[in-house]
Amino acid sequence: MVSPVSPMVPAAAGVGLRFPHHGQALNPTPGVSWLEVHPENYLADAGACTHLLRARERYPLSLHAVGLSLGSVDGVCPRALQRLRALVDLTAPGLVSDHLSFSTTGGTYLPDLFPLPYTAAALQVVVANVHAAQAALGRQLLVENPAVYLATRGNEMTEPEFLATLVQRTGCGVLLDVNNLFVSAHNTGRDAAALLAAFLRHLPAAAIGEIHLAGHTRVAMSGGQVALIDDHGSGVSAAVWSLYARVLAVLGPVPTLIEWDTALPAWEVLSGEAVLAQAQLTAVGGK
Amino acid sequence: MTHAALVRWQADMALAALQGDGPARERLLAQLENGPLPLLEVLELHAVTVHHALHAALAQRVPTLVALVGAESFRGMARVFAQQHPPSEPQLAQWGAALPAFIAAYPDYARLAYLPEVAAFDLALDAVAMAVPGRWSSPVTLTGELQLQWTDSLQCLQAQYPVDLLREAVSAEHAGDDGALARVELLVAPRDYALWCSIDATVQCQPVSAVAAAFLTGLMASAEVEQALAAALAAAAPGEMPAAAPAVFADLLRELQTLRAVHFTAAAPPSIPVVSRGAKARPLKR
Repeated sequence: MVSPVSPMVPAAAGVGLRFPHHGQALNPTPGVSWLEVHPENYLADAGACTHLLRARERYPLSLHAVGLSLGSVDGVCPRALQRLRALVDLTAPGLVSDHLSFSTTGGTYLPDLFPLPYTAAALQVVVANVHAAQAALGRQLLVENPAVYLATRGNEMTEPEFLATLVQRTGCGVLLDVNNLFVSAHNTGRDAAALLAAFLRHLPAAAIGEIHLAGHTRVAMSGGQVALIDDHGSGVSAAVWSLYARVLAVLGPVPTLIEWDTALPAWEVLSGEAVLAQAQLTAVGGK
Repeated sequence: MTHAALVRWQADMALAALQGDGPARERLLAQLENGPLPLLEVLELHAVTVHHALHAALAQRVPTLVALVGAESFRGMARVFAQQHPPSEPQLAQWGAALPAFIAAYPDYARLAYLPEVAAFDLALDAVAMAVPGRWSSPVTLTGELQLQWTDSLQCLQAQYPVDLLREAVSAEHAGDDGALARVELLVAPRDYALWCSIDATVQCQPVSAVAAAFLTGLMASAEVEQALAAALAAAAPGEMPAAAPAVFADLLRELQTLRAVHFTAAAPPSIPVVSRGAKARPLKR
C-alpha cells in the first residue's frame, strides 16, 4: 500500500466508516482525523476494497475486527488470520484490534460477542490466541473490553485484572471502550466510575492504544429492570462523555473513535460527535 | 473452571443463542451469577442479536426471494436455515450457499418450485457484485491467433424458470406495479445466463445458449479448449457425431462476440461475421 498519508493513527478523534459514508469521507471533515472499519466487511468484497483504499489515501486507518474470536477454545482460525493479514498488508493500518470475547465454537461462527468467564483457563486460551494472532499479523493487537449482559459464577479475577495479565503475557494493547464499560457496569450491577478506576489502576497507561465511544439503548425487562444494549445506534450519552473526561484526565490524549453502526445518521451528525471528542482531546493537550 | 468446563460453556452459549430453549440453556443458567437482569431474558438478548444479524445478512443477499415470499415468511425460514446451516466464518456476505437446497426441502415453500432457483440466482448476482471490475482472465488460445479472455467476475448459471424476469418484476423499478409479477410466465424450460460485473461496477445479466454456457463453464474450470468444446458440443446436440463440431464452434464464436463479459485479443477471422442473436445484457440492481 502506497499512501501519501502516514499509517500512524494520531491521538485525535476519528469515526467508524460505514458504506453509506464512503463518498463523503473522501472530503476533509472537521473533527475527523482518522477512520476505522470492520475488516470483515471488506475481506469478501473486493469491490468494496477499492473504496476503502481511496479512503486510506486520505486518512490513517484502524482495522477493528469482530471475527477473530480471541476467546475461542478452538483457537483463532488460520484462514481468518491469513485474510486479515492480506488486508493489513493492503491498507497499512495504524491500529488493529478485536474483542475480549468469543464468537466461534465447534466450527460455527455466530455474529455476537459472547462473554468469557474471567478464569485462569480462559486466560490461557486468550493468551495463546493473541500470541497466534500477533504472530500471524506481524504486529501488536489491541484487545477491547466487551459490553456484557451477564456474569459467570466462579470468576477468578476481575475484568481489569484479566486484561492486565493478558497485556503482560502477550504484549498486546488495550482498546478501552468507555461505552462498553458503562453498559457492562450497569448490566452486572456495578458502579461504572469504580470499574473505570479499576481499569485505570490495573492497566499500564501505555497499553491503552485506543478509546471507543458510542451510544447505547435502554430496553425494559419484564420485571421492570432496564438493560443497556450496546447497539451503537445513537449519540454518546452524557454519562459516557463524563467517564471519557476522567480517562483523558489520567491518560492524556489517546486516539478516540466514535462508533455508530445502526440507525446510521448523516455524515455531519457522526462527524459532529467526533468534534465533541476532539474538543476534550484538545483540552488535555491533543492536537 | 477447568478447560473442559470452558469448552462446554462456549458450546452451550452458542447453542442457547442459536436454538433458544433446551438443555444447553438450562446448563448455562446453572453457571450464571444472579445479577440485576433476569437471566433468561439476557440469554434471549443474545439469541435475538444472533438471529437478527444472520437474518439481515441473508436478506441482503437474496432480495428477490424476500420479495416473493414476504418479509415475515422469510424471517421464519431464515431462523430455521440459520439453525441448520450456521455460518462457519465471519464473512456473512458469503454465507448462504446451502440456501437453494434448503429451500427445495422447506415444507412451507414446497409448492413454489421456482424459489430454489430464485435464491441461487440472487446469490450468484451478489457474488458477482463483490468482484473487482475490470480484471480479466489469462488469454486462452482458441484457434491460431484467436485468443479469448473473460472477466474474472463471470459466472454461468442454469435455471428452469425465468429467474431474471422474476427478479426484475420485484425490483425497485417496478415498485407500485402490482401486475409486473403476474405478467411473468413461469414456463419451465432450460435457460442459461451469463452474469458479470461490468467496468462501471454494475451487475450484468445476459441469457446465453447452453453451448456458450457449457463452453465458458469449462474454460473457467481450467479445462483445455478441446474439453470445453466437447462439453459445448454435448450441450448443443447430445449424442450427435463429432462432425458437427465445426458448425457448433462457428456459432459459438459468433455468440461470444455479442457477450461483453468476454473479449478476443486478436481479430476474429473474417469468415465469422458478428451477428446479434437477440440477447442483450441488462444491468441488474444489487
